[in-house]
Amino acid sequence: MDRNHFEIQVIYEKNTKIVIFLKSLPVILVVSFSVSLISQWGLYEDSQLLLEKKMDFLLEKEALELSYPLWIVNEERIRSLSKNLLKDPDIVGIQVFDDEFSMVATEGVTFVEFMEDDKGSDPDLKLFFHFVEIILFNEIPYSVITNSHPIYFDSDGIDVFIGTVHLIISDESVMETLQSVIRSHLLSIILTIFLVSISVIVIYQLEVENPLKNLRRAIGQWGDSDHKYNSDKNENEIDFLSKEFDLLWKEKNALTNQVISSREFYRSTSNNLPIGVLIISSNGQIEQTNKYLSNVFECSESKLLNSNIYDIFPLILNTDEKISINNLELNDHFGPYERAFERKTGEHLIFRVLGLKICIYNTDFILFTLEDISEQFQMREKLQLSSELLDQTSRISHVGGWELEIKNNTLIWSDEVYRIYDVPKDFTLNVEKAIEFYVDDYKFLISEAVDNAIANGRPFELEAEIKTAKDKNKWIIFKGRPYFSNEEIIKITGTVQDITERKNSEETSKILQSELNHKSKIDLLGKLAGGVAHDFNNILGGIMSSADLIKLKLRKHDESLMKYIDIILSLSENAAKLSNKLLVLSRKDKDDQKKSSNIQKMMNETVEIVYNTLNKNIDLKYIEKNNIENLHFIINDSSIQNAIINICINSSHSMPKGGELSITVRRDDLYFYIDISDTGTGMSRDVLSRIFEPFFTTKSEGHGTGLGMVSVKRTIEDHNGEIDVFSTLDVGTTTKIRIPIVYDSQQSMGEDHIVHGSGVILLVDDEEVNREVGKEILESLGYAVILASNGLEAVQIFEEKFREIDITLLDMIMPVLDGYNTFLKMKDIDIQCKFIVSSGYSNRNNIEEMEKMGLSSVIPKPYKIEELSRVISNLIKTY
Amino acid sequence: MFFLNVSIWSQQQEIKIYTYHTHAPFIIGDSIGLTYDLAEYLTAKSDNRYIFTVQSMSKTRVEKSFDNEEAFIVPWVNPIWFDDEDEESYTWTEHAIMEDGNAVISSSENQINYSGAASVSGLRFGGIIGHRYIDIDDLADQGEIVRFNNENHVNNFRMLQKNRIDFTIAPLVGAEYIIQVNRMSDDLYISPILHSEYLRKFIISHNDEEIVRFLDSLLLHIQEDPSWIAIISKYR
Repeated sequence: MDRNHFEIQVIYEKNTKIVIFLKSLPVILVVSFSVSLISQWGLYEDSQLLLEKKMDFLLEKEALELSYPLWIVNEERIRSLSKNLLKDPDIVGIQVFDDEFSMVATEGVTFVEFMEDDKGSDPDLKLFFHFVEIILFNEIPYSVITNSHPIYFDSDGIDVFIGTVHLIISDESVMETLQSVIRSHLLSIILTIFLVSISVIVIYQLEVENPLKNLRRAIGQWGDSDHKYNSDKNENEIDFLSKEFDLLWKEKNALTNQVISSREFYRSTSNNLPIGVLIISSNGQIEQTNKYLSNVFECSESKLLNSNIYDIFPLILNTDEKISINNLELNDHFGPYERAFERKTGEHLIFRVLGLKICIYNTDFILFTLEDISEQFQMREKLQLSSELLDQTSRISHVGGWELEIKNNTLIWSDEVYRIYDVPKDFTLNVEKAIEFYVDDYKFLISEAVDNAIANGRPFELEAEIKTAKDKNKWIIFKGRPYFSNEEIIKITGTVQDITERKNSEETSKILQSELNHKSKIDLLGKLAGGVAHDFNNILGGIMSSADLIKLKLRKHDESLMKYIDIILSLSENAAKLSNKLLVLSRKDKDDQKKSSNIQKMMNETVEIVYNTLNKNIDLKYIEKNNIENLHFIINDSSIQNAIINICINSSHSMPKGGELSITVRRDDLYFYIDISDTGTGMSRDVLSRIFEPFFTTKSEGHGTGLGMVSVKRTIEDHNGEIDVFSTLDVGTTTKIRIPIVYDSQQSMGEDHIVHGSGVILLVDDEEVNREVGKEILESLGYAVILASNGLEAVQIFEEKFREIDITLLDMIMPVLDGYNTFLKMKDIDIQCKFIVSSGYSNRNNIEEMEKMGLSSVIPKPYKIEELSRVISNLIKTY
Repeated sequence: MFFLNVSIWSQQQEIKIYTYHTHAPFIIGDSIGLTYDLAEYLTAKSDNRYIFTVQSMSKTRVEKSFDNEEAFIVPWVNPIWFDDEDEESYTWTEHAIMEDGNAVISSSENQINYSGAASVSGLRFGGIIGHRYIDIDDLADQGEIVRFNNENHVNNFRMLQKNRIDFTIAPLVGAEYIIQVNRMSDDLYISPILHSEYLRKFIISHNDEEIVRFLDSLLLHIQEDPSWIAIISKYR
């Protein structure tokens, strides 16, 4: 009804404007016409004046033009000029007279023909009537203007009168133009008024009559038909509306009362609602609220009504939402959003905010409802935390949950189950698809277990293998337990636990156990070899020391026996080398039996061994890139030899059908380089990266221990050297070794030179032979010797005599107290004391530790007298 | 007889008379004038062997016509006017058809007897547009004479009547005819001494010797020929 009332108001205003316009239309018409006539009258007068001016101008011009022809009495030219003049549409006649007023030329009408037309009436009045005639009649009664001008000729400075020219000008063409202009002007006025009238009629039809008809129809549909005015169909719309509005006015009063009571009802209802109700304008001004919000905001309702919601509850909308709310054309609802509100007491409330666009009296407002969901929110947060904890637990333990609702055959998985099966969370789940994940051997078992649980209520636990969506094989424990309701199984719940890692660990454990057993055997063998080598070395030590002693004592008496003693020594030395190789091969020998060695000799021997060892289909090349003829430096030649041989044997294995093996050596000031290259099968990158791993071998079981290259690396590292292996499949392998050159300071003295000295030496050895031989050698070199048969005895002696003892020659493996611990105890007694370790077998780690603590030197067993003499002599000197 | 007539007709030759003397008395109307009379006279004198017909044109056109093959004659002309004083460029008749000259004409009330340029110095002269007058032009250039230009001699004679000029110069034959026709003999006076004299001859195109012979033989005695005298007297 409000809308219709507004429309009536608009229609009434439009109708009033149109009626005013129609009433003023005749006045507009008359005024326009009058203004037009007056303006045209002005034009007409102007045109007459213009004609007169034209006449004056032409007369002067013609008088000038005709002057000369008339002077020379050239009548032909005068006639020609006159004829030309008549081409001007305004000129209707011309006469030229000579000085004797004889007519020289005449063209067009003559002046005389018009003389009688001038009645002497009022020229303005005549002109006006003429003007009216022009407008009204098609035949234009034109008038003429006549005038004459004397013609003079300048003869020797004297103007001589030679004749007269008469002109007759008609206003016919001017009148024609004027008539055309006036008529078109009037026509355009009439046309304009016509168009305006048509437009007004159309506008009236569209803006007044049609809306009135619509309004009448609309009013006909209003409310209760009993209240309607029964109109005559032919009745005017305005009359109808007038009567209808009388009725409506009465209804309006009744409705107003209803509205008041409705408003009271609304207020009462709103104030008792357990939620906040808020109506705001688009700029946030609060228009209506309820008691609930007054309580929440701790503010009176009247104060709230003068406030802006963004001042009270800034978080009710974020910036984007505020922008959105300003554009009400596009949005008709907001939210629901969850927004936090802090009360003055510090209490935090969470509201669910819902906005709705409403329109009141053509103005847009937003109706907000605010529901306190603080408790729900807290519970939800707790639930969320609990869920996250459960999920984390599931992830850690790899245990997921599942539930099968029997009635609907609906299967539910927890997140972890999805992860175990490697499927996304949007995976379409059903029992058949779930069973498909199990490998064929387990599909039946799982189906049977689930069926049994459903049919008989029997819980189950199965270990099964699955193939996940990412084609991974996993092991799981699949558990299920029926859930009863009213003695009826309604669902099966259970867990899925990923036990793949455990399963794999078990497999690995088995392999490791097997390897451990194998290594134990190897280790045992190593220990055995080490023990044998040690004893053997001790025996050889006795033999060689004795032989040395015999050689020393017999040197001056019987030279013939010397060669046999040398044979004994040579053979014993070979046996010692063999023993040392045995130690290395048993991987227990980590001795540092380094001595100054002839490198060229060592390499030649090594190449010879390699040559004899390799198949003949392998072409061995040995290249010395620069001179190493006199190169001597400290090296464990046997271990280096073993290392080179080991590498060469590996190379030969990579060339079963033969090939080329080259050993290239070179030196510079700091390093000795050995490059070993083959043209074998080469190694993959994976194999290459693992060759120094213990027990890694590419050979079949029983053909390799996987310790060869480990031993090689250890040997090179024992020499503070470096080893690098480069290999390309089907091309070959190159091993590059770099050993620092460490010269022996005694080398200049010569290997066979025996150095005598003086001092007290404590010789500690559990082998009596070694003690006796050692005592003899040392004494023969000029030293006083104190003997000890084990470490404990040695410590006791040292405690008493440490001030006298210059050097302790210490065996490493001894009963009661071994060499290492003896060393420690003696160092406790005298930190300055000097030690030489002499052993056929020793723990390299202990030696390294002893070196750090001040061990002076190490000599291998069996030692040679020359070497021993040099080492002791050097040590005494530094004392 | 019949065959004889045919033979005569077959020997007739049309000879055009090209003339640029289109003013009186040579041409005074449509096919009327001294030139038309001349054509008839010559045709008659040739015993109709030649038929002379008149065709008027400008002087330029006449000069261009010599480039064509057609046979024509040009009457009333003087070698000086064609820059052919030696009579080598064109074929001229040996004898003249008329002795003529430019007469000095003045008003009867203010008679001028011409005796050289000095006799007209300080006077007003009426000339024809584009015509050059020996001695007179020099005086006009020097400001000794005021020259008015007209398009024909009649107007100049009228100016003399209105005392707007003091003298004019016009060909004697033409002037006599105009004065006679316009009855101006009482108002105008012709000076006995001419401004200049010249002979009027014929040019014959393409050196047609037969025509030349015909014309020269005719011109030798034309001044005594009564029929010609009768013709001439019509225009004096």
